[in-house]
Amino acid sequence: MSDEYHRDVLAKLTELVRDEFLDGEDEELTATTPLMEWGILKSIETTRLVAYVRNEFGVRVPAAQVTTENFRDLESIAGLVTALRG
Amino acid sequence: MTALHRLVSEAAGRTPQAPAIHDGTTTITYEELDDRANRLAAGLQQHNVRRGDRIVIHADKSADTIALMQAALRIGAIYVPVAPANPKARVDKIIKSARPKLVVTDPRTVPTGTAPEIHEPEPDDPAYVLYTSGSTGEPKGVCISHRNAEAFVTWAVAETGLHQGDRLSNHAPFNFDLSVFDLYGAFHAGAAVDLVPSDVAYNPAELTEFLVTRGITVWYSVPSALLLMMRQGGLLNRNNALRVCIFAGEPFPSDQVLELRKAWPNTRLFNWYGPTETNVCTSYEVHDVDPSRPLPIGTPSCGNTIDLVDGEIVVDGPTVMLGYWGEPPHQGPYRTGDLGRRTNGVLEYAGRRDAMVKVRGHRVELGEIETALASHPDVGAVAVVVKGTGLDAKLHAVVVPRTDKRPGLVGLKRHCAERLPSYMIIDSLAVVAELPRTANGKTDRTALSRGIQ
Repeated sequence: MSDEYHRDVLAKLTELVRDEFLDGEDEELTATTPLMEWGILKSIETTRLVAYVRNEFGVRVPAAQVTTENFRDLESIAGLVTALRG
Repeated sequence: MTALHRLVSEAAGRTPQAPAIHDGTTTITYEELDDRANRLAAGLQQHNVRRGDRIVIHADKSADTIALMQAALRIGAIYVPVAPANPKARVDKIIKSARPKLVVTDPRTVPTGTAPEIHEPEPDDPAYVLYTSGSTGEPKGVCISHRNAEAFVTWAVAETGLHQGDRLSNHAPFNFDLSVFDLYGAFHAGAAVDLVPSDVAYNPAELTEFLVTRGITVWYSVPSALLLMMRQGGLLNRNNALRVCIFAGEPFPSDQVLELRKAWPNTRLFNWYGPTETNVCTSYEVHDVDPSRPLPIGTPSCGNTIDLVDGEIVVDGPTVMLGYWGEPPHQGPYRTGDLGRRTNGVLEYAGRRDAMVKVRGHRVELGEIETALASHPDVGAVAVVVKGTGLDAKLHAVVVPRTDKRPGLVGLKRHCAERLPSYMIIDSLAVVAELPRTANGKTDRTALSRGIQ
């Protein structure tokens, strides 16, 4: 089920962002929190997130797909991963 | 202009029975203070203390300590106040630098005599030396002349309309220049000064109780003390006799000044600015408060002029110090190391020059981030420091909550993102009950940096 996969990816990405980039704090962090705009995802974090997606889900994100549009928030990243799984 | 060493004698001539100093349950009148200062001055002279000699006064605040300071001025000696809270290693460094004729730890043990010979100082004779922390870790003795002190006191008394009926608080230790206003402002006006015991200086409930029950009409302290009283001492819910409230020494978050303004519509509020080297060199009387801007530091005071040189506040005029003790005399305008900007004709403080750091390749002014965060409704006090070095340098915010609501990292990042360039968004957050303070009550940046490195 694509929906179930999507939910799983979203949950795991949320956990990563909370634990690794926000010192374990999750107040206000939702699927639509603007990660780039609020400085939660900067270049180092984005690189780490792409590596995590490859290791955890076996999905390679092509460099051309690492855009502010695709990485806007957790929802859009989960959508990208789900779509790239093919 | 009235000479510094004559303020008490002149007040004693006008109103001998008026209270000069309240110290706990003790009150001494101008006549008593004048007499005590004269007896100490005579005793010092009999023990060969002469014009230009230093007297280190390493003693707690009291009427006797103040009488000794007065005695030193009367014989042309230079007093060096050192708060008892200073660690021994620092006191030793100060003594080594000041090379005093006398170190007094208990002013009651100083010999007394009668009929001292009063020394009439030249305007540029040193009156006292205040030791501040130097960037190298060695204390620096800021040497203040009679002219320096008199220019400030005369201006300050007129600016705040001090009069004989006033009761000033003295919150700052005597080695901190805020105390110069409390003591000499009171003596100039023939008013009373009430000494806040040093052990309650940061106890919010006792400080509030002090201000309210002792009928203080003029309060002067660092914002930290007032913020504590507002947040934890219930200050704004109590009636008081305050006519004037002055703060200086660090930025006062403007949204909380607004709170003070609303709670006390009839109290005159002043934001004063100036390093020890110039005492107060700008002043701003707070009328309306724009919570989205830093509180202005205002316009030049005491006959000084202010220039902005590459953004740095540069002061010239009668309150610029003689120099650092033991170093060649200071000449020309004084570069404060503070950054300022002019907005609508008034100066705003924009942080320390040396707080300019490089993070992620960008020059970042920590004060600017602090100002932004201070406007968040859940933030009571904030300091931003750099964690790590080079490429690993990160912006770390240390925040004291304003209310019971704990500010969160995501919310504060958002708040920064809405106000600052993206490279100035904080990376991490610590929520603490109080910011560490230096002995003078300012935020201790060194301790904050040490704690997280």
